[in-house]
Amino acid sequence: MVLGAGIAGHTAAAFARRWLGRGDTVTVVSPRPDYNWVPSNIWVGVGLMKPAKVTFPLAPVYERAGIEFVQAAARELHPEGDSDAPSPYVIAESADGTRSKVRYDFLINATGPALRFDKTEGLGPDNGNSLSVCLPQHAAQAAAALDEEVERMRRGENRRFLVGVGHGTCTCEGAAFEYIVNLEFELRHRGVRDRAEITWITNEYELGDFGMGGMHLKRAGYVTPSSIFNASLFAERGIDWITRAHVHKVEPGRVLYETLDGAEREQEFDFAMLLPPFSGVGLKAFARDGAEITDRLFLPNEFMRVDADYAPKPYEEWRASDWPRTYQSPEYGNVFAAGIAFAPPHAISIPHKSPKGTVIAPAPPRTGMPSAAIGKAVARSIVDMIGGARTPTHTASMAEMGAACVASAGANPLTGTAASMTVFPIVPDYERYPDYGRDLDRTFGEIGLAGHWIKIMLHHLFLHKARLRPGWRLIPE
Amino acid sequence: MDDEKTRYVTKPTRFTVFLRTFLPWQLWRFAAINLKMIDIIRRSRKAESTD
Repeated sequence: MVLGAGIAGHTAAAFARRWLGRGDTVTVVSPRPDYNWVPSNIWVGVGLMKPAKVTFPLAPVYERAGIEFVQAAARELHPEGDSDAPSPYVIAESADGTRSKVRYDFLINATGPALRFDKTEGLGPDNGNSLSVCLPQHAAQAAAALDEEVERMRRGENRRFLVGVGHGTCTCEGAAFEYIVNLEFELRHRGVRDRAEITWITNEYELGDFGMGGMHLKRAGYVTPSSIFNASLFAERGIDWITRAHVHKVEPGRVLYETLDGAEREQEFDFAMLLPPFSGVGLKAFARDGAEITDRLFLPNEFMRVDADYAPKPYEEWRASDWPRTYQSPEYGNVFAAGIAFAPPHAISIPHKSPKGTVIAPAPPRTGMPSAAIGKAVARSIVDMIGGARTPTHTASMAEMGAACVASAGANPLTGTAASMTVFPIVPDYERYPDYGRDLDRTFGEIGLAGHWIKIMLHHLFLHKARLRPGWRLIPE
Repeated sequence: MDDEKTRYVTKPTRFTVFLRTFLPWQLWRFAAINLKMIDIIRRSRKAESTD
């Protein structure tokens, strides 16, 4: 059983179905009826795509593939079963509130993040004063708001745009970065750039950190930090920036934030796209006798404990080997987590606290390529365990794998650009690469039109793969 | 935007900006970046090892 049909869960389910025999069943439990290729939500958010271009219904795809689909949200794990039967199950709740038991032999928790707009007063598009691009409908709202702003600027008004993260512990700065440079490109394209004041607000200590502790690139005889390239792009595009910020309140037209030096500041805006912090989705776990065991399976941030080293330790003692390899629960050998649902052992970026004790540092990103790779490795391990292996057979440590990332910086087939980046490994390994934690021959980045072509190609290839169309498994994660 | 802030920031030359959308150069970069990414995928697959 796979909980969640995002990048990790969908990949795991598809490969498990392919590798398992006809006598085995693969069931996906997910509350949403559609798959969403999240990276392209950025283009929905600036009005270049409709939500239908980045989503498709899961049910027909799963029916064709022979995967059972339960459209419901997982609420409770019962890994020991209950007093009636010892077989483990999940309590799933459908949209009408009906709760049902769904039994499993092996479980992959790929429930992704809960979007915690509630962590910052006034944050978010539903009950707050800011916009988001986390979901297709959020992105469509942002695009509609952008259209209104453009109309006002065409009438001669000056408008202020604020883009970034809405809390000191957010992750996914890369997605917000993509949004701000696409926004700037679109405003130029629509002929109103001179009337827009655009500001980036982030919890990063330096620009270009992206929750990965930044990266270092060999260029023109120097090893240069990513902050230089990020600041360069912002300066070139006329984008101002605020770093080391914890947004704690979003009022209509104004954010209040604390900076790492303890100062309280504010920034006014007419349009704000601020990403929320994440947590796990709040699954509860129960033993056979009904006693709650949530804290044995999950950390307080509601992400699932796996084979990582969660012992608290100072930054100087963090090791690449702290990061999980098999993603198996230490409590139950038939339970795994994949993608954002697994609990990282600690951040990747250097931790910082303000004098008031406020944590202002990015959480580690676990999206895209690593999520899919983890989903696939977990599926392979489970298939092998069903075949008789006693322990997980495959690993996918973020401290051992690299990632390729293409961040759109303006979408046009002839004048657009994107930043193409690779890092190896994702989590720096200072024992293997003492100077910078990464292999500098395989960590690179550059901006150009070629990156935009690659971004377009990846959009179509990954949607083809997710639809499980012919040849899908040949497209790498 | 604060001039004092941008004064100390590295900025691309006109030639660098030109190359970013110069088609022959970008066709070459398209191939080169794809090869770099394939290398990362290949190495990451090695990391997804069988224990």
